[in-house]
Amino acid sequence: MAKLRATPSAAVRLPGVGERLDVEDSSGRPLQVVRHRSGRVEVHAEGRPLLELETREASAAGAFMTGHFLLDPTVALRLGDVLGGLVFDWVRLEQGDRGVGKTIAELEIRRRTGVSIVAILRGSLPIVAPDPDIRLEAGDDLVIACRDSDRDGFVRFMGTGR
Amino acid sequence: MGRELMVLGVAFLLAGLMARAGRRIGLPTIPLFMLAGIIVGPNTPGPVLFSHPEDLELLAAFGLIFLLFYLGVEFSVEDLTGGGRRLLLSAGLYLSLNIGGGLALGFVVGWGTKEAFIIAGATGISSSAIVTKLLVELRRLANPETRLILGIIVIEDLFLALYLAALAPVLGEADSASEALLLFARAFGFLLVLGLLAQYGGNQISKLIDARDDELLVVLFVGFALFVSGAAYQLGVSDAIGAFMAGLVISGTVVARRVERLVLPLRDAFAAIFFFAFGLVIDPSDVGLVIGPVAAAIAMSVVFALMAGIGAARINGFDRMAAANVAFSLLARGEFALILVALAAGAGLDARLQPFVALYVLVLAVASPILASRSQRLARFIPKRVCPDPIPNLAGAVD
Repeated sequence: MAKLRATPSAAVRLPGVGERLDVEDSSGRPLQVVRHRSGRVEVHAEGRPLLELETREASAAGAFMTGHFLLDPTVALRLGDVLGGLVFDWVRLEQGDRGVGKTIAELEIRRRTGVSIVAILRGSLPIVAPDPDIRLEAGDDLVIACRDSDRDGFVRFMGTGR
Repeated sequence: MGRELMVLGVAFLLAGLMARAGRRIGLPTIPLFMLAGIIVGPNTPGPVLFSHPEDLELLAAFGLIFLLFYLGVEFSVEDLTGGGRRLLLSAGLYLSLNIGGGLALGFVVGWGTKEAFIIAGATGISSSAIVTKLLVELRRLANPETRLILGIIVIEDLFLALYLAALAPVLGEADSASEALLLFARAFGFLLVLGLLAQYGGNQISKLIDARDDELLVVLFVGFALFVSGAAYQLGVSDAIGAFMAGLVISGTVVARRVERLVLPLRDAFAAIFFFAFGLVIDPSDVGLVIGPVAAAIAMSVVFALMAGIGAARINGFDRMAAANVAFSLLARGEFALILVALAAGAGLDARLQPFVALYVLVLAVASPILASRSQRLARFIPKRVCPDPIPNLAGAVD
């Protein structure tokens, strides 16, 4: 895959367990946040567990910390079922990717990949529901909505030019 | 019928209660399920629950199939490539030392060539179930070496699948070289077809088994797993590898995560019976026949686990503590050793393999958690000369 990266994540995969995210607290002390696949969260510092949260509490605390919305955690747990196979994601276009310099219409993105670009994050202003004639640029973050199974195809289509 | 159900209920209860008691003192479940089987089996004094262990054959086969099916569903290429070259080197070192050593030991023991291959697999491959649970319970998930240990486990799982595939024709009853070649070709063809299906047939397979509600999905994926396992068995490739490949095919589809979640309770229930049924056929009085080889195998596994742990720490720039953690965590043996010996029993190999593997697994499944929880103290016995403290920026660069 060329330079196109899908949802860059700083988290490290822990096969069979979940993921680990390394961050620092405000005093610069390294913290490790481990999220089990069940949704359980552990926070470790200096080789010792600092905090352990069960699935519901972890998602409530996590939603609260983002500051964007506060959900009843049971809603967050049901979200996957409600949305079914629908996925929202964002991918960044970089110099040299196939999509750079072309319009959405020229690329026939929806017909070829089954993916809808619902917004383009360019500079500080998002372009919501972009016009098909808008020209994509390197550095654009494309917010996409699609079926889970179409996502990888889109990334390949936009990334390698094949 | 009523009596059979009651006996089966007692089997589950006994296995579960013993494992729960063991959990209190930090023991993994697998050896205790086995021990429950040994106690109520026909070969020990006291109550005999099953005088015909073969009555449990079908339920135990379910356990084996779901164990490997889960492994396949869970498998992800990212887990393999995500660790980079250092992970591959560390896992390669671990496997070549332990499989190589096991093979050598197998030949020295002198029970036969096929038997040596079983011994190599049983002594060479760690128990992913025990190791993963151990790391969670020892609160080591945030440690830098944990990712390495889990990565090595993934590679060992994949190796086991390939080993099972290669072993099936070896264990088969080929009278001539050409017949053996045919068996190999058939096994390879089967793997190739399912591998291609996993790679390109994801959409078709998910159309076959996908259903909005969980109930139907369970029914359909169980059918798929059992059918592929049975087909593999008929082709002489072993049901175990069939189950793994069925899981692998599903791992590439949109329903993978749901299947992974739904198969867990099935796996846990039937795997317990698989371990229990294995315990039933063990005769403790056979221990005398195998005590020497088992002692040698355990000594070898401890030494090679330490060597591989130190090697892995050096490759990844970890300290002595991490080396000890890697070594003693990966020392656990369990389900895979028992799966291999179940295959051996099916192929009519030397009967001493069963008590050999039973005793070996019992000791290491119990010893590994005990040693791993004390690895901090044990690490001091690793000389600084063989495992120097890491250069700080190198250690930082690993993750």
